Amino acid sequence: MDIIEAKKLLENKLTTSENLVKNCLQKIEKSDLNLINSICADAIEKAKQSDERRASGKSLSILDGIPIVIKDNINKIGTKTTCSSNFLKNNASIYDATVVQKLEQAGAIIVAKANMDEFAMGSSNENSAFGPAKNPLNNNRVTGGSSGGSAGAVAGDLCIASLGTDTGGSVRQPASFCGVVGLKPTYGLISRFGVVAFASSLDQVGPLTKTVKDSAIMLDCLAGFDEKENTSAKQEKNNYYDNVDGKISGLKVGFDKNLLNKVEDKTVVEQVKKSIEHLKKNGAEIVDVDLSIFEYAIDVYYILASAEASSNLGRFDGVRFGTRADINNLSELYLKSRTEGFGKEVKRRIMLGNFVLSSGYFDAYYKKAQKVREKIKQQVQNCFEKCNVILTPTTPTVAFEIGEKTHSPLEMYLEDIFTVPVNMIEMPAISVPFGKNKDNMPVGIQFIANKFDEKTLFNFAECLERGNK
Amino acid sequence: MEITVDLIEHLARLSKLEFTKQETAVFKEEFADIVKHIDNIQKINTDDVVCENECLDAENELREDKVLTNIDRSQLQKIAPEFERGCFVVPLVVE
Repeated sequence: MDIIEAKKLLENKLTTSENLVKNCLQKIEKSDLNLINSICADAIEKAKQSDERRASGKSLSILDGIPIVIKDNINKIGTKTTCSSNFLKNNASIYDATVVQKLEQAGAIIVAKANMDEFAMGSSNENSAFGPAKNPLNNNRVTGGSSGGSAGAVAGDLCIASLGTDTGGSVRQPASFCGVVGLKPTYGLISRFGVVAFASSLDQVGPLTKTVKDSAIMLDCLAGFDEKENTSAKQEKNNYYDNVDGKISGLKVGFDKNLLNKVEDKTVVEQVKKSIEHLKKNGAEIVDVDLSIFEYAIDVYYILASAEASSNLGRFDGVRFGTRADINNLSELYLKSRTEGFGKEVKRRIMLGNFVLSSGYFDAYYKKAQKVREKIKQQVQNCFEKCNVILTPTTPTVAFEIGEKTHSPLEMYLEDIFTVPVNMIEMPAISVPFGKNKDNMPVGIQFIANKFDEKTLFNFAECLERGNK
Repeated sequence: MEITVDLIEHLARLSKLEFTKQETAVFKEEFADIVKHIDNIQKINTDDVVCENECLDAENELREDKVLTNIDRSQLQKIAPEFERGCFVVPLVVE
């Protein structure tokens, strides 16, 4: 059930918010997919209040009474915010993130907090201290990551929509693996206040939904300037949902066919070609663009994201919050708390970050990567001189088996080859399911648009979604 | 570049992390693979790029400097490992 279907049922008194929420909580209780870290104790009470509002004609928005799951790096009072890390396993949220406030002001019911890769570092949700999340479409396969629990919860009907965060593809890649819609909005469009930081020049909150229209509904609620977040953008309020019509006639799609050389999975290649045919049939023109620099984006990403992570995670010292080692010496307390609290991938990224920032390597890696980031931005901006959106596969493969890639961090990093460039250029992108392979695993197609042009992004995604039915 | 055990141990000290000898050995191999890959960026000519340490377009929007309702200090004891009379307790630092 999607948001629009749920709204109709609620309006026609065929169900109540309390029923919807209880249904989600029962499914969460029964599920053995490890998609959820904790449930929200106030969900049923909030649902009853929503039903009372509806009964008296005072519903707050289209989201009033809709059960939502949020990633476990987003603070909500009354819940623990663990980031799926042993470091924060008992960490109480003492304030609400702005996105939580916005959802609750719209009447949405936050029912649970989703499993994730520890501190959002990973592409398979296997880096969680609480164990891997399993893909609802095939329990032996990964959900993708890092917002694996959020994507799986939507795909597995544990909620109607969810929130993830996307630093290098962490909303779009699991969306692709689980067959749902995942949006990474323009940098600054959604406030990150109250969201645990990983890499601050890249992190964005984004919705995961069953449909493109639901994604637009969520963005209508979440977007907007927030004075508590100094990278928040001052933008005119957009009515994204009202403007989704799927009309793309006369618009241009940039496509670099050489990118498919990076894709070994034949189904992914076939589906990209079919998606292009579908867009052409609907009146779009395909234009060749040069995205050869995407090849270097993974390297730039792992330098810059790790550098920022090593700085952001400096605050985890065992003094003010989280795990504290049982040591009576301050220097040892830092060392032991961090060593005991962080998992392997988080340690790897902190080490890499400190490497590229350290004396003797700073110019060659960090500074150089910033310059290459600028080159990536320039090349993509040149593409947008010729087209309205850029099309790529979201991922080079469909969801892989649990454990298949854990032996090689590098192989895992390469999963994000099509998604990481988008975070570096601050532009929005969306992953839409389009077809499945012979094992019934979904393929995702990614559209990238110019900054703050989510409207065009939604229309292309809507058009493709109609072709997927 | 060559990744040595000395470099890994140096980075661990900077990172306030501790590894066993076995972990260091595994880490060294994985790290060498990653560094070899990220070295790819040296192939790109960036002589024409003017930005230095930060190339983001987004500008910081600083709010007006006024006191807002903030987190109540008493709330901090919910998240602090050790908290007494409104302060975080740390091990003895100065004798």
